[in-house]
Amino acid sequence: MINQIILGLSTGATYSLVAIGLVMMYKVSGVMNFAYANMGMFVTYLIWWLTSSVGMNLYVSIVIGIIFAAIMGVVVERYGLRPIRHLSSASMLIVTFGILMILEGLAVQIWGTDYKPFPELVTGSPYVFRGDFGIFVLRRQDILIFSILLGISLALLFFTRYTKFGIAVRAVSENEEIAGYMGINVGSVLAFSWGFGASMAAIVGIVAAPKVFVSPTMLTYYQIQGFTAAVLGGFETFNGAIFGGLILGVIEKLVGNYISEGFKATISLVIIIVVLIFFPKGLFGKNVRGRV
Amino acid sequence: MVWVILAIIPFFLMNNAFIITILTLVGIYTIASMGLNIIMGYSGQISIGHAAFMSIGAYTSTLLVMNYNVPIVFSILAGGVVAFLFGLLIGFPALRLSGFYLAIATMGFVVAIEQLMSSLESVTGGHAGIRSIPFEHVWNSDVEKYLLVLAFAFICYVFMNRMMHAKTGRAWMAIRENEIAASVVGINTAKYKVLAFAIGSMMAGIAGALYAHVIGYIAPSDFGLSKSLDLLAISVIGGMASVDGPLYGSLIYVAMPFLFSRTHVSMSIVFGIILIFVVMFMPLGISYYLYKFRINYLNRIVAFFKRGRKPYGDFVETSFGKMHYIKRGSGEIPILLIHGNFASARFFEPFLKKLPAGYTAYCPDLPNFGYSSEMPGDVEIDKYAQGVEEYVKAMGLKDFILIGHSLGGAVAMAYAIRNPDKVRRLILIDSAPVDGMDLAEESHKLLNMYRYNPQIIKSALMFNAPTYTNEKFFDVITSDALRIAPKAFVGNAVALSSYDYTEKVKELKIPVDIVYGDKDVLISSEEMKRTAEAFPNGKLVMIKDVGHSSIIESPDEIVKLLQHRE
Repeated sequence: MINQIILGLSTGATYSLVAIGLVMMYKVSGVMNFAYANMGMFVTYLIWWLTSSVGMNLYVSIVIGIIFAAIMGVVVERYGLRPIRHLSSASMLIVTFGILMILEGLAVQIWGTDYKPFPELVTGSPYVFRGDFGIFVLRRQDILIFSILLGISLALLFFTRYTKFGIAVRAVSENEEIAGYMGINVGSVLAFSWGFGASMAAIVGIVAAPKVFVSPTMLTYYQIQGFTAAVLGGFETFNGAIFGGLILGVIEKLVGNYISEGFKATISLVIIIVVLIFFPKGLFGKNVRGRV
Repeated sequence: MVWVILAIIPFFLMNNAFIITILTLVGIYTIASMGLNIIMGYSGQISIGHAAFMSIGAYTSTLLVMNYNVPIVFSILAGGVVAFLFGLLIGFPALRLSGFYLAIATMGFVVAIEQLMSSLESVTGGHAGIRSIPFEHVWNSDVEKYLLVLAFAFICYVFMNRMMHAKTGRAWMAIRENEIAASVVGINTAKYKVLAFAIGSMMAGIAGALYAHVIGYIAPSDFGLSKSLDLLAISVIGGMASVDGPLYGSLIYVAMPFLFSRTHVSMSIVFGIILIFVVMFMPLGISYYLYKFRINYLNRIVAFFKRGRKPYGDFVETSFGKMHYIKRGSGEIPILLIHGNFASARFFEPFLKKLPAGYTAYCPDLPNFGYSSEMPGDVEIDKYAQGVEEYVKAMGLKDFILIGHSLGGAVAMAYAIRNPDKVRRLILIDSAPVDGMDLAEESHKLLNMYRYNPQIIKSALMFNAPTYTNEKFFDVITSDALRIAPKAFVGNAVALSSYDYTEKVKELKIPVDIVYGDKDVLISSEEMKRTAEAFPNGKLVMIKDVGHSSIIESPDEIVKLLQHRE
């Protein structure tokens, strides 16, 4: 049981990473990025291609991939979304669908639909702890994911609390117009949020790739789980996203283990619906009133 | 008409089963995307789980046909009903929340349904799907499939079209524009949003069922997220808030792969690019541009054919040309009736039928209107009055009752001012006010559009006569209105805004009745009161529950008024 929970937490940490990126983009720009998974997928393909075909060092290509992802995020926001910001948010959503389709098409076009293996970043035998609670196995990959999540959340915390730009990001997510009046460069904050979000997608792709292999639809399921995690957390706070992801990971693992693997997506749908009905602002959200 | 052509098409393509199948597919996607238009375009919710409902409809119908031998039409309807129920189920949770939650829920739904259908192997055949779904046919299966799809498309089209012009559609559009405002005016937003979602899902279910029977093979992966996105692209490209958009979108969706068949470009790139392009540069979709094309150019052909060609009255020579008129009755008291803008002599026909004995009615077409000749120079109310003067002279009328309707009211005033001794009494019916009638300059473009769009003229006329419902009458008047001189479409509006008789009518001692229907949307009751007060001998007569055209809407009242003072 405890090992199931550890495994669940490990998958959940990936979902948290997905959710952090989604929440960052949503909070600042107000757009739900449906192309998120495919951005991550595309970058993972790129990294795989750089290492296997071009023959670059894995870590160098990972850095290149993350930088590429950030640039892609900025470009998409600047040229795909900002021109239509004055239209409805639905049209921006549709643009992200368009990007989703283009990226998927490009990946199929360039690299085909075959599953490609992706190397584990860390290998080695798992750590095993024995005690009066039973046997307790911790894989090295889990440690990697946990430390990435911890590092990113701490970095985010310091960034949004103590740096000038981080406070600007918070201000823009609070109220774009007033932030603009206060002399904040809203455009650069928007661009940053998308750059950050897309690099998160790349990180998720790299972390998940060894497990799911590199393929055009490798991250679609992660994206849905990321949405579920963000919904659990209320779509407003990073804390919500992180804990939402971890909770979801554990639930999913237990369901997969004790009920059936085939019901995993259904369960997250049920979770979304239940949360939306009973906790419309998520488990960690706060109430906001709207105006006409 | 278009539907009849569509129904005949397959008989010319009998030897070309491939093209018939392609057209059938277009029909199926049209139905599915119509449903998506109800959800996204009209009620403003976002669904990317539309393919899941297709999947539900497809499996329901297939299993019913294969296991229980249900007739195909009923099984398709059953597919629609089951999809409707699932739509209710999914539509409810995302109700109270902003749009993108529904997008997430539907995205989850489409993945979940795909997973479920794959895992329930005993019922659905798992990943492999169901093969060789039977299609009972009498004669030619391809043509029959096509006609079946066409019939469903037709029903859905009519259903949707009627709904958009009824309370439900209006409620959806109100919710789309502003949900809080809609709820304030008494729309049950929750009910209508769920209803939109469920009906949209039902159409997807029907489309899915048709798909299963037409293709004869279904698998869970046929209805995955990518199919949902394709449907979204169809909707957006065709035009989200339109009834005909889905057809254009589906045509492009089905035809595009053939255009690119040589290049090996992945279709999803092409559609992604088209999708983004459409959202950014033509957000109203193809249907809007086709509509504009129809309004601006194509309808000219219709206008050409609808234009009246046969004079129905007599002619009289005047200095600027001929004037066309009709004369009714043979009483001692002459009445001269002057019609309004976009009308003609026979506009008074409903009134003339009720004309009591003892009167003779003369109804001319004003210059520039109907079968009368065009007047050279700018359009002015005074010039029309001159035209009437010449007509009166030519007909040898004197001591007559002058009745003017709308623009004709202004002409009647101008005439009475110039010839007070000829007019026994003046009746102004929903007339242009005494001090002119302003029309914003922006609408001149619209007025020019009237020249080529009989449908717009007709609805404008009907709009101004809300309680008179004889459509044939308006068709006839429209055919006359199309004969109006081109310069007068805007010219009349300018002429109406550039006169002021307030001072001049003070000298007019004849009795004047100002009739005003209280549902008039062109003229306000204040303007009419002002007009009545401007005349020394003026009296305002209000008629309840009629619009801008009292004379045809309640001719009895006018007759009563006519006899009352005599």
